[in-house]
Amino acid sequence: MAEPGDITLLLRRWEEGDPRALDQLMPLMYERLRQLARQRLRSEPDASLNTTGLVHEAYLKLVDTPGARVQDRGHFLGLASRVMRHLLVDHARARQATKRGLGIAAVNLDEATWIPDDAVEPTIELDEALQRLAAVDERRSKILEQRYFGGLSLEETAEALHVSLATVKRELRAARAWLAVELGRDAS
Amino acid sequence: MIRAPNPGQWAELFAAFDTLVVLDDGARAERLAAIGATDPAARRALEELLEADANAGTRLGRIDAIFGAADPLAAPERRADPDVLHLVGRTITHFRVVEPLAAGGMGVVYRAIDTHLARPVALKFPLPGQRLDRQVRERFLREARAAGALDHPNICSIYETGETEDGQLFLAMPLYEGETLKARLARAGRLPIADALAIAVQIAQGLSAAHRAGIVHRDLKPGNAMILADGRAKILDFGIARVGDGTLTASHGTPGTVAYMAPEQIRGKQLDGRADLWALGVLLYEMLTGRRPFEAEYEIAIAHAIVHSNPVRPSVLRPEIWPELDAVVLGLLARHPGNRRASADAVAAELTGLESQSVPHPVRRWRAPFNPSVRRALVWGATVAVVVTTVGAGAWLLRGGAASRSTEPRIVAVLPFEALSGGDDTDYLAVALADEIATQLSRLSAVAVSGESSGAAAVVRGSVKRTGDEVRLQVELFDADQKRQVWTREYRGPVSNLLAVQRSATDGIVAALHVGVTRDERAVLMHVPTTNAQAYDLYLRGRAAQIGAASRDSSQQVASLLRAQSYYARARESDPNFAAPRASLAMSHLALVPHDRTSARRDQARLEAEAALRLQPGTPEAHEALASYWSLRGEPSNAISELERALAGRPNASHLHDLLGQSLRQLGRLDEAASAFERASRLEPRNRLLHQQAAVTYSRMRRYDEAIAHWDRAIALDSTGDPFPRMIRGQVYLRRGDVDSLDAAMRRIPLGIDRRGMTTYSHYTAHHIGRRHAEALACLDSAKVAILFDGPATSGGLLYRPVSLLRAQTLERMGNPASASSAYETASALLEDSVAAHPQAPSIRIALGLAYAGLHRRADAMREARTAMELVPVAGDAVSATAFMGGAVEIFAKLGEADAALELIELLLAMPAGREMSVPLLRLDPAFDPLRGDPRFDALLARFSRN
Repeated sequence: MAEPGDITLLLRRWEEGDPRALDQLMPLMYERLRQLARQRLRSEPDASLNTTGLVHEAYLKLVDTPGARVQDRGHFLGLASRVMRHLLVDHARARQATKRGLGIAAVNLDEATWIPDDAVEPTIELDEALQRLAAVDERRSKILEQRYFGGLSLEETAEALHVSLATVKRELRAARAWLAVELGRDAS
Repeated sequence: MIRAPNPGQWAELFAAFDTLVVLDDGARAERLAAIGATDPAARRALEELLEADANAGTRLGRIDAIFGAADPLAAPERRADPDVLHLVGRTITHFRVVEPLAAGGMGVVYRAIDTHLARPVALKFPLPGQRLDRQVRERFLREARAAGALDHPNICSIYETGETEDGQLFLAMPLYEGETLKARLARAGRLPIADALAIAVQIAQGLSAAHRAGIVHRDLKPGNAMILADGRAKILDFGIARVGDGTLTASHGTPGTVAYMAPEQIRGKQLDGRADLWALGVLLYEMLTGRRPFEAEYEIAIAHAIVHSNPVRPSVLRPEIWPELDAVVLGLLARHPGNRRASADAVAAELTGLESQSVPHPVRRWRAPFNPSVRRALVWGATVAVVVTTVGAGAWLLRGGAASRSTEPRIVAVLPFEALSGGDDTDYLAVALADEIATQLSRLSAVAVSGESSGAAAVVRGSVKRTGDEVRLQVELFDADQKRQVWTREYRGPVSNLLAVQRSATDGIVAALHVGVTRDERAVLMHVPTTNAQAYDLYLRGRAAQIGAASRDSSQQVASLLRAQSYYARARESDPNFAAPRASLAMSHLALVPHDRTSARRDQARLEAEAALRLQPGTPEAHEALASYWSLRGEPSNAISELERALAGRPNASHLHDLLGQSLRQLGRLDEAASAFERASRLEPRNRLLHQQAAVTYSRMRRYDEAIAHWDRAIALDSTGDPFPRMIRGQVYLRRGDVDSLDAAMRRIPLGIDRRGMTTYSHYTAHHIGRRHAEALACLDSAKVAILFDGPATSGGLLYRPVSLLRAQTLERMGNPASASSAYETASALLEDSVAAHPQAPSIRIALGLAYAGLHRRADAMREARTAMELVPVAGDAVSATAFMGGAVEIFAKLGEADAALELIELLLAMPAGREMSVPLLRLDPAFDPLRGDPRFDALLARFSRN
């Protein structure tokens, strides 16, 4: 399993411009975040979907070492939000498949409890909406991704995207309006 | 969906949106019209976006709630804050919100006080981000009214529904003291049969009343059943579950709820009261056997089992269950609703019949404390034999038992216990158990816990002995007035249940102290933080290591703290729901901050504190940790909120009042700060630093008499002869215009010690004010330092005076211009170097300005004065700024710049926190001589004298 050191190393390499580092980094983080989510659920079985804290916990466990630099944190949180999104969307799609009777075993164990039933559809809808947004404005899409899937604060989003807090706030507003329209058919 | 103009156009559209969204209606309409003239499609798209923006909070409400992301434009960024709706301290209609109690899928619950009826209530709000549209709101209200109309002892009543100023609905309900069935099951596993039946009967009776009124609960589960102190059972969340048909709360998806759903519910069919009865069957099964009838590793399998399979007979899991009881339970769990009992009434009757068949010992209900020996056996479980072996002779009553009726808390010292058996196995217990008891006592408003016996009315002492599997804790109460032991008792218990031993001892001490304990405090004392013995033991080891760290030197401190952290981590692994180790972990991180100043370190403290609060809202130590965190971040208002919450749980912790005072002072809330320091010093009267804090705060408000009173006490408590408090007190005498006291004080300060020139300065000031210039000069000549108040704090210091400068000024006043001039030259050369070394230090520039003024270098002097003031804007730090403004006045006066001087003087006199300037000072200090005779100066003094 990934050691914290591996991830920091890969993070550095990626920052330095090595594209292959990202390919190795993602699956490692995917697995680690999945573990953390499972642990989190075991200790707080009543938690409904709430990524707040998970991504931060991952940061503390995987990257926060004496040698870690400030930039590492921003990068990590941004990446972790993306990974978290993949995790949750994959999971939601599997649940959807299960509901349609394509086999109970499609979703295993306590992972079944990550997302409440009535959050499965919205998760997928959100993901699809964000994909559409990314096609026209990548940064706004990332801001929403980090906000929803990563549970990042405004400051952290600014850190991750290397922009000012004011920019994040401004762009977030338009992004939310766009999202409200996209999801907007039912007011609930 | 917005008709997509080509992708390239989005960049422009967003840019236009950014501009439009901040315009007012008129300007916006104009711009839109202009855009629409050339590109109607763009205009439509923008209008759609703008409209969405106006309603984003509502329209994204659901997705926000699902992902726990609040509307960023509404609430300030605070993640994982137990006060999710930021209501603490606010008054909503006629309720004053005190603290958050719980937050979860069902909504957010706060404790509040009904200010009309002066009673505590619980306020329940829907989840944040769930703004309800009109139809849903109306249904919420209708159902709430229906549930409110249900007046039955086994249904949680609703006092009223209400609406906040921003249109958020809430319910006001009675605040019940007790535990949920869920907590009880978690704690006790399975219940005694009689208890299980007693609870089930009551729930059935409650259901009966509701069903008769046409209301189906639909979400009955252990988390929704409450068992009160007197044994009554109440059903919560009644009828609300019906609103919105499941789209309202996200809780329907949380694990555990499926387990209580009836088969027809899972199949999505129409529901009636029989679904509630099914849930009752599951509850009864669980209470009787400690297990659920349908369990599997994942939700879907549970659902499958509910719909398709038969549960194991309860009697198989618990042989005492007799056939009729079996039958009733299985009857409730009949898969087809037609085969189930239809009437809750009938069920209640059957269960009552069974109750009388059960083993005839009295039904034991969850009892509120204060029937000591009986309660202990019940609450701590039958496996713990806590035996009271010795009762001390002598009167129980502490003298002044009437103190429990007075409003001042009694100061009780808890000294570390002695370890009677040797070895590491006992040492940690001695330290940690004493600490735990002290912590418990600190929850009481009638008691102020102290760490040292001087000044305490009562002292708790004790010893710990460990033999094999048993722990013996002997505690005694020593009355300071009577100078004797008034109570002692020994508690024995198994090593595997240290918590019971500790709690029993605490109860005994509280009883022996004869202080008043409120119902809320009783509940807190009774709260069981963990049922995992290993976790508690590890936590105690951690506490001992952390407490031990304080008395070690720096290098060992870190090692001890890290060891403590590792114990806490292990405690957390044993019981992830145990909040105390998380809070202590947060404090340990903060203790490491001096050794590790990265932001990550304090962030970890915050995370742990927040985790602790999620597990156990209101934990004072966690709030204290958050307060320290915010202090480190330079956010005193947040620190203040957290301190207030910490104080709610530890009302008489003097250090919390001290920290509160400091934060309030930073914000300029001096009156409140002074009260906080007063409170702190009353709770810890031997602590001179607290008196110092109070004194400094009063000084700033020009309440000199009170300041001096506190300085007097601080000096009386100091055995080291530290010149600092005496010097500052002298300055206060001066500003009060009390020259005689100033002189007398000076005479009492021996010339020997001259730390940072404080003694010299004290003597110099007295002579200077008395216009005894020759003595002043002599004093300066014998100074042991070249610069008064120089030191590592130079750049932040308020006063910086080279002796040469003071000599120059004194010589000038003595009418010796030539020597004065040469002294001024020396001073300015020295100061120019200092300024070059510390360009940001306003105090040095003031000194330089004074030197330039002495050399008649007007422009240079003015420049230094202005620079000094610009370096510390008033808003940033009110106290520092006034000190430098006072210095600038001196410079202006010396230069003959009367206008500038008077303007500043007026400003300083008018400022409430303008300690530097007072009318007596202006009258007395020779520095202001150049202004005397100017009618404006006299007018100012006259005007402000009247206050």
